[in-house]
Amino acid sequence: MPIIRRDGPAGPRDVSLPSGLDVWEIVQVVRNVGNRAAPAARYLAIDVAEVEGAIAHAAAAPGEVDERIERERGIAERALAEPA
Amino acid sequence: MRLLIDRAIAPVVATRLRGLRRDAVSVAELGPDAPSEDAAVLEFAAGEGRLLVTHNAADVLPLLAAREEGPGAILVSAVRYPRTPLCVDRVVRALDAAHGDVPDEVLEHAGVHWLEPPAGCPFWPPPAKG
Repeated sequence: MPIIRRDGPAGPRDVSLPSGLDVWEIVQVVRNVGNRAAPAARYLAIDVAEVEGAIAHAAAAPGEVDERIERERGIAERALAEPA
Repeated sequence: MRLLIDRAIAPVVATRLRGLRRDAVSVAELGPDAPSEDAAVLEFAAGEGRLLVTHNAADVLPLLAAREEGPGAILVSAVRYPRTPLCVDRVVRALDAAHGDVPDEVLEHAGVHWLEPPAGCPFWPPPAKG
């Protein structure tokens, strides 16, 4: 499955086609389900092959995925720590 | 409150919400013409009068900050609501409970509402570590 580079408000990132999901978004789900492709594919309603492609792509540059996941975690934790 | 569920959240969340008589649709259900870039997804949501439900804060927050009018977003923390099949029910229950609780600022002025567990939720707060 093809991976393209796309600009976004948070900076450029790798996007998986045909779903249009960011690679980090797919990998985050994979990690959440025990590093298994099939349940991640079912959760996201995409082909297993696309999940496997994202995993392989991320393995070549794991820092980018980790950085983005941590960035999202930081934004959420700061926002939720603020009093309503 | 009308909702557009972002592509990275399980599409079944929208299906389940409709089963609860909520007006929700997933980007994944929009077919080949579905918007994929964040700005286009937000534009689509605004055109349909829907709040975008997403966990992608880093991309969506700057886009909403540039807007003054229209529906905003419900942000779903991946810490509180990990994207796993086991958490689909949590998200559905929290979104169902959020109806009526989302401020007008979010609904009409491109504001942001972080999804909170519903009152009495058995999984929140989590037990203290150690």
